Amino acid sequence: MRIYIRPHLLWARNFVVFKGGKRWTSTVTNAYDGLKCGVEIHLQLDTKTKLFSNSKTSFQATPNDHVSYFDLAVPGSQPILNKHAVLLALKAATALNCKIHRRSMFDRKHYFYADQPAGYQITQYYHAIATDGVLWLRPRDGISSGVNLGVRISQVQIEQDTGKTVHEIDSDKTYIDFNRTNHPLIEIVSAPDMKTPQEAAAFVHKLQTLMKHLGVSTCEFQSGAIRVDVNVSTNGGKRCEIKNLASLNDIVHAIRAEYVRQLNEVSDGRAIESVTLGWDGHNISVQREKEGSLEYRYIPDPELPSLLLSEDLIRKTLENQPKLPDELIDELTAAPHGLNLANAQTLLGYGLVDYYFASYKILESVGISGRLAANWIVNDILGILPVGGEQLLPSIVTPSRLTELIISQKQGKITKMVAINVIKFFIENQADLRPASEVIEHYQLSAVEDDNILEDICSGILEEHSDLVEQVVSGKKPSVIKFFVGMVMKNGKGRFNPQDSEATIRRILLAKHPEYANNPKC
Amino acid sequence: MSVSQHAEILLKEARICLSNISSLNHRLNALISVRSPESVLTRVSDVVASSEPKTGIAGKLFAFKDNFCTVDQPTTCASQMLQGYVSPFEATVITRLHNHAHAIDVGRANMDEFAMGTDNIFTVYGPTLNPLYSSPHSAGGSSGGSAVAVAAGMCHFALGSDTGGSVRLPAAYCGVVGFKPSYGLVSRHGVIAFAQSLDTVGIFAKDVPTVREVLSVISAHDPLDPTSISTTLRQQLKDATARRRESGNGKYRIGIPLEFIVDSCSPEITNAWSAVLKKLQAQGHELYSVSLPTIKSALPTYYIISPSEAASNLSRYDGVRYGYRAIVDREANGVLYGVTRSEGFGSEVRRRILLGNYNLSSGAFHNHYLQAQKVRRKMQLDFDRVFVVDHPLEEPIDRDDDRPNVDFLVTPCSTGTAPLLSDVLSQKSPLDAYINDVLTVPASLAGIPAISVPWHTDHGDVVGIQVMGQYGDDDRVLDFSEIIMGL
Repeated sequence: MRIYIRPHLLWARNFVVFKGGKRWTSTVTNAYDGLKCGVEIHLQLDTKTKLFSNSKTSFQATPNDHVSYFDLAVPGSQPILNKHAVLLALKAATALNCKIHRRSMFDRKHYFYADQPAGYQITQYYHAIATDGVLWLRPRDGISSGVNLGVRISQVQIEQDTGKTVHEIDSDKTYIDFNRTNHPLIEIVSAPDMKTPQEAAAFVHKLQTLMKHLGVSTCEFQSGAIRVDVNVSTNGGKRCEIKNLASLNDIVHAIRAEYVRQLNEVSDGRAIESVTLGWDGHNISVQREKEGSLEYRYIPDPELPSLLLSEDLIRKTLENQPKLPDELIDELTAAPHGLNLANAQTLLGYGLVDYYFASYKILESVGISGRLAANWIVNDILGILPVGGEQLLPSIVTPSRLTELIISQKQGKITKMVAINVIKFFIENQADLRPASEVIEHYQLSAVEDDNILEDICSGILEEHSDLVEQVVSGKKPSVIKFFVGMVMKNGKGRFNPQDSEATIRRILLAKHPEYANNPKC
Repeated sequence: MSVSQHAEILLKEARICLSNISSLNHRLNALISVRSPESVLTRVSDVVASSEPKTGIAGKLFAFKDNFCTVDQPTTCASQMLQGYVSPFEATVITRLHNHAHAIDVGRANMDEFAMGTDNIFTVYGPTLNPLYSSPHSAGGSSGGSAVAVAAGMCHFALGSDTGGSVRLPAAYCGVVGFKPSYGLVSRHGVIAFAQSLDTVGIFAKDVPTVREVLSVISAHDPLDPTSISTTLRQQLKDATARRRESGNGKYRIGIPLEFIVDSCSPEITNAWSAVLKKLQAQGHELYSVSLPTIKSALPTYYIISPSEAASNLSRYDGVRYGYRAIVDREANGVLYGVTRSEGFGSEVRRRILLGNYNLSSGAFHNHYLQAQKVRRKMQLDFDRVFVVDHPLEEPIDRDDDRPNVDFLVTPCSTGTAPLLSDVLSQKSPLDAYINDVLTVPASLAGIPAISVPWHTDHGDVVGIQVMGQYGDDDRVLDFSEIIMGL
């Protein structure tokens, strides 16, 4: 099995590497007869403040810096619902085609744990904000079957996050950080509609793309913005739940391991018990026997009013729903854009579709193929950005700046290398608001068409590397010519275009070494 | 009256209160912390000297129950669990009394632990005694300390909390006015929860006008309390009250609910009740017999809902972040909470936590908690059918033309007068104490305003007469209470 998701890359920028638009495709045919998977996903909502208090949400803040009285369950404190969290949950449920309930309620789920200050979590157990949705997976999403797969969404509910407990190694000390306490979450529960590990991973990935696109959540595994539990059953047997899978890769491997475990249990003559499992990246292990015997003593929260949504708000959320990823991918891969699937998915994954469209429009208006912008963004620009730099693109390297550079390059006014360097300059000097042309002029980066200067530079390089000249001329290492071109780029600060440089080098070589003409690679 | 005369009166009254505290509190055990007389008198002088606009309770002294959070003294709910706990913030109502009304607190009042109890005996500070009797009698609970502080003249008014009668019952036992406003009228922010769907802040005073003054200060929308009713609704209620007062002729329709005639009522109570009703009729008020069938289920309903909410609320007391922590739980291999909670909570609180957790367990939830919620809803509708005026938060309901509609219900507030403390302590079953709540829990379950008004019988007893009105009709309940006080 080849999986094109590298955990370290995910860590670096939550980036999925695509090849040919196919992921999780296996080179070996895996049969998963009788396998059924359902997924429970917790998403941290991307709000400024917490679910029931006005303390700030935080990622990587100093422990216990963002904590209010209610977060700590200080006696006499009370919950005040964050409306923004509700709106994000509503957006998510709408995009998942759910039935939105005009009246939902908050319940308390009780269990004692040091990072659960009130002794209960506020969640929506009896009456959730939304139920009965569906998310469609298409073949291009990485499912092996050739037809679309509808994964039913059983429920979307709003709830509080817990704090974090850190056990100090080699000591009896445990530290608690309440910053995460009361961060708004939505829990999305799917029906057991996925029949292979790949489908489960494809579902989670599609959901990530969708929710990130909607601004509901950053959906990053590494920060804990998305947490995935998977339940697995085989041949209609009891469900076992694998908790806290930390990447798409883990989802695939853990389900496969659990499938094998369950088959082995049965073939060894043991019944499958409903257990909670852990995955350490290599092995599956039973964490807790008999799920379901826990007593959470649910009670409707006695002081939180019912959550009432107006018909108007529900309708407007649907009406104002932006184009969803599927529609955008369709649009990007169809004429007139005609992007390949990988580029389309990359633009979407980085949230740069609108940026591309804006650049496309400008280029087309001056008679240049607008889809060039996609190549520039995906192939040339993303690679030079620092982590998270893609978020700066639309505001720093504005479509007008980007297209100015593309147009100049097309017109031969600058080389591509210069263009990329100017983009780097923009990112590093965000306060510099000059248009690209002024920067080019200021640093004298215009492509130089003065043949004499180019001639001088080329001659100089060839003289300096006379040993290499011999290898080219003799035909031993014809590719060294590329090195010379590179040197011209370097010495000429990128102002000469590679084609002119190479031609000039060849001309000089021929003049000085007529035998070079006999070389077939000449 | 000149300014200086007014100042003299306030200072004189304050000195009397302080003198009562110093002479009586050591026996009655009403206040568990007392401010120094010098600091209180200084504050009274400061208030009368200031040129700021004054409310009717400026410079008046008050006590408040130990479950109101303040930042300069421990807030303990009379529990071992919160010994030494100082709140980081102040209850909204305390802030309003201090800052808006310039009232002056004299100290914190004793109570039953976490407001659970009817005789003020479940407290780490020892029982509060009733000032009306020379031998030890129950002060009533759970706001017993607040009731006694007012009854014994230690302050002009006091705050308590009423979840199922915890203001009205001690008021009845101690012979003072005890008012439980409509649910949501007074902010609960900073009042430590017992059962939030029932908890209200209540007021004790010797007369109704003082209750009114205090209510006008603490009744305001509080954005920090999710159950505080909106400014818009408050205005609607105010307008409705004005309309009803204008259209009325001072004569009211009084309901006598049959379900409040209970076997356990002592003769002095029933006699006092009928005496009040007779005098009201003699004044031209109309009496009607009414029925609210669900009241018969009020007590079990209350004892399912309130312990369930309490068990949930009290889950936070684990000794990890604040409050009491057992020594064994501090050790590395301790069980973390178990012993802390066993040692930190008293017997009555532990009993109700167990009861609540049982009700919420998956096996019992549907038969107990959900059924209780349904009965509670039916009871609210029973009240709506009886009152002439509609519930301002509900759709108007169809009333049965054959049945009389009334402005207020008048009942006793307790089944007997204050019992001997020795009798209370020798009760075999905690259920004996729970039965005392039968007359007060219906108004709590319905969220409606209810008041206990003292009635002095010809035999020298003091009995609490309860008046209940429609939700939001608080001002008229107070109007009518004044009529009863004046009979």
